[in-house]
Amino acid sequence: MEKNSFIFNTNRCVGCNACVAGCSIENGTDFRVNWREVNTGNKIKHPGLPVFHFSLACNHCEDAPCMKNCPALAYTRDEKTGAIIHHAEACIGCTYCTWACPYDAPKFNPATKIVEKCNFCVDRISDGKRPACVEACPVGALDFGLLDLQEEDRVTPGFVDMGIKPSIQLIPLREANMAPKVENTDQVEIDEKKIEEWLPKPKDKVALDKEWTLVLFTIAVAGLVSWQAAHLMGAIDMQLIPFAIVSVLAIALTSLHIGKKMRMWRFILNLKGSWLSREIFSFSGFLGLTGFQLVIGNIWFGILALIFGICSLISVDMVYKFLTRKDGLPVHSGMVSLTGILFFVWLIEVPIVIELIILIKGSLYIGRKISLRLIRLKHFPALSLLRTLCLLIPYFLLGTQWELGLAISLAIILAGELIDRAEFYYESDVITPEKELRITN
Amino acid sequence: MKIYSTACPRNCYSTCSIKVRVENDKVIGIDPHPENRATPEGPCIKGLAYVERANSKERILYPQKRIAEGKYERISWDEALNAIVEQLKNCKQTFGPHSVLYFAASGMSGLLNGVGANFWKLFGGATTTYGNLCWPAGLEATRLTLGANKHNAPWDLENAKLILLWGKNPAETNIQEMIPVEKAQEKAGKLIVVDPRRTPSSERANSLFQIKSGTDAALALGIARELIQNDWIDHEFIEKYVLGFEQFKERVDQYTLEKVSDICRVPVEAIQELAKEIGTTDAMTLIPGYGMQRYENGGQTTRCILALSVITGNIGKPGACFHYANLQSYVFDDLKEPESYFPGCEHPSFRRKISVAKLGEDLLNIKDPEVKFIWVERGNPLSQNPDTNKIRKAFQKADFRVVVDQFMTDTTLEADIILPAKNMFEQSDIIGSYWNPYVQLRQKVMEPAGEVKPETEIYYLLAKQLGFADEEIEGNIPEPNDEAIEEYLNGFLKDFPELSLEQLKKGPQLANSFEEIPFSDYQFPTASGKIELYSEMARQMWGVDELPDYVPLPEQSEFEFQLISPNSKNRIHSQFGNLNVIKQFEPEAYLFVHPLDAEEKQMKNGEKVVIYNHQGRAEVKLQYDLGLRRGNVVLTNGHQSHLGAAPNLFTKGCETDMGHGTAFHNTWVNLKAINNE
Repeated sequence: MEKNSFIFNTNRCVGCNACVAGCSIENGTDFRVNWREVNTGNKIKHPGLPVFHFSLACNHCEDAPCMKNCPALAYTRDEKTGAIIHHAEACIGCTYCTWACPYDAPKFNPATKIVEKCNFCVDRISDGKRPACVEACPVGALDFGLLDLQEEDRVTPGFVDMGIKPSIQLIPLREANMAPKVENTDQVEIDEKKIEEWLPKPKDKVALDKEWTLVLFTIAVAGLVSWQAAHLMGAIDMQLIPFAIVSVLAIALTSLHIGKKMRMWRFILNLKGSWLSREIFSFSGFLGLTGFQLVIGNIWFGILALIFGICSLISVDMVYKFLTRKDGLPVHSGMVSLTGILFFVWLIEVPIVIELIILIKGSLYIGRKISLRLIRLKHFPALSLLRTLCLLIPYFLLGTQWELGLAISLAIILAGELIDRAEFYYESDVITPEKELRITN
Repeated sequence: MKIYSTACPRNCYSTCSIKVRVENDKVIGIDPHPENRATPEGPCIKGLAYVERANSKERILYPQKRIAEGKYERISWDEALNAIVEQLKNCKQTFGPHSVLYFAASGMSGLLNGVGANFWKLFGGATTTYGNLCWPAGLEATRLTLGANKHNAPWDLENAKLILLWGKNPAETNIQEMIPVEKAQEKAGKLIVVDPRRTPSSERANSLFQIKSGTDAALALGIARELIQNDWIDHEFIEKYVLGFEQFKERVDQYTLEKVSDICRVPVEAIQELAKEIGTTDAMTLIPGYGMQRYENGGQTTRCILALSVITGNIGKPGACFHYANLQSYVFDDLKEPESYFPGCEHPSFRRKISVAKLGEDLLNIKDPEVKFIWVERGNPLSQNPDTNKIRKAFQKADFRVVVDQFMTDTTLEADIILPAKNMFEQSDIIGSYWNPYVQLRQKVMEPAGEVKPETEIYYLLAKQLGFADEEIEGNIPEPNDEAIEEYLNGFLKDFPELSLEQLKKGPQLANSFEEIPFSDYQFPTASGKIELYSEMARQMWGVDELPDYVPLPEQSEFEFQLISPNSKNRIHSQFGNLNVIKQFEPEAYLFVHPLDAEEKQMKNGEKVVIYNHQGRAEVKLQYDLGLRRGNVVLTNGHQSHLGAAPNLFTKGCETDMGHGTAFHNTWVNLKAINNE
């Protein structure tokens, strides 16, 4: 099927940034939030490897992950042009779309506190004109047209094809014109390790300094749900006031993470497509129903609340499913479902289940650390030891008949889970063109 | 909204035709103008930046008077003109008119620039400059050899089977040239680049000859020797059209492969391969840049490189030419570059000249009279001429300085009075290009902003106030209105029936004299009528060898690094760097250094380091560049010293061997880590 597409010829682009300027001038965007960016492969000019560029904005994918994952339904598709349009008035600034898109197209604007994105110059193309970036390219490297795109149109190093059918045709470098053969008798062979050391570090989209609120929030979800579960099992009391305090704190933490707090209600609009919507919806349901249960005293509200709570734990883990992991492993010991189960088994104090969970979490944790070590990524051995002790010490305390034993154990467990969860975010990553191109070949 | 056709008047190869969208006397957009076959896809990022530049809040819109160092306050035109007139009268009476320096550079091209010279002529003369900062060594070398500076139309480049970019980086300095380069490559043409840097233009090349900077001539002569020895030369062409081949053959004999490999630091086999490629490929377009002639030996270097095109007969054919400068669109000039740069060609009122390359030194030394009053327009000599510190000293020695500019620069910061300059949208003018063959109208699309007055109007008002006779003013300085300007321009057009303002308002025009493939008639306007490899004029005028030769640069022992200051895609000399659209990509000056060189000096990427030599010293952020030849460091042209490091803090006032050019790249510096100081 033919559709409006960008056409990018890698042979022609010299990385001049005119497309970026053309876009920002036409759309009046802030220079700090360029909708289009020129990404460069082999920025450091590794000898023997080509330096090449990708000018990328939004690729208006057929299966647009930004639109699918947006909890607030802030994205629509313009049927006539195929453009994926972001609606500023509907955006809550949760930045979840900036994680979902592998092309770094949605950009969070710190000034407006919402996301913005290339709109394919929808007004221009509706008028039969070319998008401003295409018009601005002085060498004809960036073009626009109606194309019936095939998979081979997207095969070029550094460009991620996740099967979401981006509307872009990439013309790869000709074999004969990859990189110049350098003639220079003074040139010395340079150690690859040195080059790796010189490579500028790309900025992480998911970084602990930004996501610490999420660490606390997700642990709070696990704590509250396991509390409710243990309460239903009759293992532990549940009082309104402490429950309400933790709930309010948890909600406050999520709101810190979004740009437009007054629009928070929009979070639950996309139950059909977005795990984030499902997470917020089920967690809100859990809180509300537990509230009823505690006020009215009807156990059925509690049972219903628990169902919502379990859904919220699953949703939280699903929210992060599309992130890439530095360790490359499918299961992480810091997943909130596991944390929820760990809290729960401790609250009901059944040793055999405790042993089983410690074994599972511990081996997942140690396995991950080994694999991080193997691929020479930071693995923080001292912290890892501490985290492992946080799993084991409460177990050794289990036999003592100490009055404050459970409280201290839970505090230690909580500390361990916080470390694990923080590491979960630290080791998470979003695919960006910048990162894909950093690996020079 | 209205759309106008106009052209970018910067000192740049491309001289793009553009369309300007104007709404409510405001520039709101810049679009491509496909009628220009050389720039069909539109301008570079700087062209797009005009939207910001025309509307910038930083622009100088009113006359300014200096109240303290770096501090200016708005004054009225009356106050500004009165002060200037008083100073001028005083200078003329007390010291004579030549105590005034009239300094104009290449900031904006146009025929109306001649009005300035007319004014100073009526004033009784003024001290002016000879020579040029940019390209004269190569121009003169080409003129001595071929007789004229012209080359095939830009779009003919796609017919080349071999493109040899010798020290040119069009991807940054002439971006639309990459269109035919890529077309030629698409048709399996080869691209070979000679440059000490791995540039964006070299990225898609087959090979990059990363030779030691300043040794280009040796490489050319070594290749010439190989071409001759393997009989890869065009005997018929040489016999019919070339003077001095036998002597040249003798000259190149000493440039053996081993010797050249040792001088240029490239392998013997690579030189052989390059010679074979040049000698056995049908159509070679050789594109030397202006950078490689900004060495003391630049003229002779260009002659050596040009000899490769000559002995292989790659002149005057489709896809084959020596692509240095194309002055075909300069139809209105009585005397073309480079001859117009030489002292002696001027009106008698301007007999007193100082060297543009040695501006600081000459200004400090000139006597009887000393320069008391300095007038600068279209230029920023403090950042763009060599040896900034010396020029600053010379400027401060004078009594009074007037600078006409659109924005604050290193030079306006030395001014007593700053006058606001028009921008390219506020007055019509006719411009040519030294690359594409079009005559173009830089069209007025809006009224001047604020209290801006075009230079012609400033001169008109000064002339009136100085009491010049009306009949003198008439014909020399147009009245300040659009009709008078058009009449003035029509005066130039009357000899060209094929060109009219009406046509030019619609788009770029070709003059009847345009040749798509110059020299295809084998007419070479030299003394002998032949291509002169052996040039007596070279000896007579410049005291260099009659034959092309490699003249080594001075040996260096004191300084470790050779500083080159090539042009960047982000600026035209010192223009555009102040705009936000540009600053987002290059917020400050960086010194590019090979990481191994940096590590030897314990300097790390991103750190501030000290760069110094006898001329100056500055701190600058270091950036690793694995694509550099070791021993070379790069600070791109156009950075200004009031904002930090600028290349001309380190350059020496030094002329090229011919043409009165400027040897910017004859510059050596040392680097020091700041914590080691």
